[in-house]
Amino acid sequence: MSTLRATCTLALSAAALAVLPPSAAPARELASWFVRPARLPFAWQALEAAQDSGDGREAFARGQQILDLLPSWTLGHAAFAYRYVLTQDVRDGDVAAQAHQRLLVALAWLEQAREHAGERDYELLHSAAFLPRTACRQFDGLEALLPPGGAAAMADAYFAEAERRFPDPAIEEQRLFHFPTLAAALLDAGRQQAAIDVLQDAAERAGRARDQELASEWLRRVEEVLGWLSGDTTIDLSAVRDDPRFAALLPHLR
Amino acid sequence: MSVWRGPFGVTWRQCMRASALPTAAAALLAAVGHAWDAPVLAGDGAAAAAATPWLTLPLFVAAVGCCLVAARTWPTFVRGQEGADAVRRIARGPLGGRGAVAAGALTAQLTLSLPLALALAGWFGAPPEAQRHVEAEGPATPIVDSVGAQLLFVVRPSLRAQSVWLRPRASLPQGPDPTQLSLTSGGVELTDAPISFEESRELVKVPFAPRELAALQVTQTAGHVPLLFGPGSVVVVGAAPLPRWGNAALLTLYAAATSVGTLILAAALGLGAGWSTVAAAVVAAQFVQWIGGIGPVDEALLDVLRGRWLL
Repeated sequence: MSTLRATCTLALSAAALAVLPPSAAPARELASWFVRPARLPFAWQALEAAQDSGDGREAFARGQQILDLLPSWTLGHAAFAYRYVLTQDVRDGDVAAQAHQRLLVALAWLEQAREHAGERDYELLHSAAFLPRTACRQFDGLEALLPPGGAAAMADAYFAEAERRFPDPAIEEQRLFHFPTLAAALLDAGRQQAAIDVLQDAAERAGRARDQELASEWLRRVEEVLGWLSGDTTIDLSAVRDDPRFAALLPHLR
Repeated sequence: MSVWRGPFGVTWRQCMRASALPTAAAALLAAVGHAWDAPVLAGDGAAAAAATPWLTLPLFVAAVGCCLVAARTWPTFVRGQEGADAVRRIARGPLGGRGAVAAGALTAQLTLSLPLALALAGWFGAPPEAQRHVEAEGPATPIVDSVGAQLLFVVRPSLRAQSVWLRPRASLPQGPDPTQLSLTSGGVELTDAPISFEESRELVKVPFAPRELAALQVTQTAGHVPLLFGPGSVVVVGAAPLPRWGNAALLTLYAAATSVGTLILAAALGLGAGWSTVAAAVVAAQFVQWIGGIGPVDEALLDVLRGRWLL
C-alpha cells in the first residue's frame, strides 16, 4: 500500500511539473516576500546615508536596490530616475554628455520597470515622456545630443505607446496637444515635411477630442500654421502668436 | 605552556576550524549576490558604496562566528561549562584565561577578515586610491542670504586638497534665481566653474588644481536662495592618493573592534549566565553594530567603498 502511495505521489508530482514547469519568476517573488521586510528598513537607511553624504550615483544605486524589492512601485521608479538624471554633482567637463548618458540609463531603467507595472504602465510612460524635455531645460547642449526631433520626438514615442496600450480619450488628448511641440522640434531639425505631417495628423485627430469647442478653436490654429508652413505667408498668425500652446512654433513662423 | 598550546592558540585554531567555512560561504554568496544585484549606472566606474550589504555579510559572519566559538571553547567563559573547575585551578590570573581567549578570537577574526576585505573591496569596485576627507569648520552663523555675504571655513588639520564638496541646506527662495557662490582660499579663486544651488542638500563637487588648504572663503555672488552650511556641509578632499589595501586593512581593525566590546559583554554576562544567554547576547551585540549602525563599523564600511581614508 505504501509503495502504491509513493508511486502515485511521484507520478502526480512528475505530471504537475510537466504541466506547470517551475519558472524563476514565482520563486523570486516568493523569496522577495521574505526578503522585503528584513531588507527594506536598512535599504531606506542606506538611501538616506547616500543622500546625506554620498553622491548622485550612489543614491541612484541605492534607489535601484529598494525598487528591486518593490518592482511595481511605478512612481518610485519615476522619482529616482528624475533625481538621477537631474543631479549633476560635478559642474565642469562635458556636462551635457554626462547628462545624456544618465538620461539614456534612466530611460532604459524605466523601460525595464514596465515589465512589472501592469495597469500602472502609463505612469512610467508619461514619466519617460517628460523626462527628456525636463533634462534639456536643465542642461544646455543636451538637446543637440538627442536623435532628430529631440526631446519632443522622444516624448511623442512614449505618448504613442501609452495611447496604444491604454486607448483612453485623456491619453489621446495629451498626445494631441503635444503635436505642436513635436512639430517645432522637427522644424528645428530641418525636417519640414515631417513637421507638416505631424500637424496634419493633429488636425485629423482634433475631431476626437472630448471638448469640441476647445478642439475646433485649436484646429483653426493648427490649420493656420499648416497653411503658413505650406507656403501661404499671407495668413494672419496673430491668434497663433497669442496662444501659448503654439509658443514652440513661433521661431519658425517668421 | 607555549602561547600556541594555551587558551590563545586553542581558541585561534578552534575559531579558524569552525568559522572559516561559514565565512567563505558568506563571501561566495556576497560575490554572487553583488554580481546579480549590480546597479545600472551611466559612465565608467561603479557605485561601490551601494555594495555595503555584500561587504558586511562575510565580515559579520566572521565576527559572530569567532565570538561564539570563543565563548563556547573556553570552559570558564560562560557558567556551567564542563571542565570549568579544572581550568580555574590552572588559569589563576584575574581574567581566568578569558583575555587570552578573546585575543585568540580577535586574531582569528583578523586572519579571516583581512584577505576578504582586501579582495572584496576590489571586487566591488572601491576606488583603487582613497582620499582623506576633512569636514571644514564653519562660523557660528553659517548662513549666506544676500549677495556679498561671506563665510570663512577652517580646515583642520590643513591638507593638500584637490576638491571641495558643498552640500548646504536651502531655505525658501526670495526670488527667481539659484544662488551662485565663489570659493576662494588665500585670496585665490579655486575654480572658474559655476557653483550654484537651488535645492536643499544638493551636492556640488568643486575640483581644482591641488593646493595646500587651511581655510576657505565662501561668497554669495548672485541669486535668491538662502543657504545654511551646517556641520558636514563643506568637506575638503585631499590630493594625496592612499592605497585601497591600507583602507581595507584598517576596516578589519574596525571589524575586530566590534568583537572587543562583544567579548567583554559576553565575558561579563558569562559570570552569571549560561551558554544560550551569552550566545544570544553575542549575536545581538554584533547585529546592532553591523546591521543596526551603532558604532563606527557601519560608517567605516561605507568609507572604504566610497574611497575615503579611514584615519
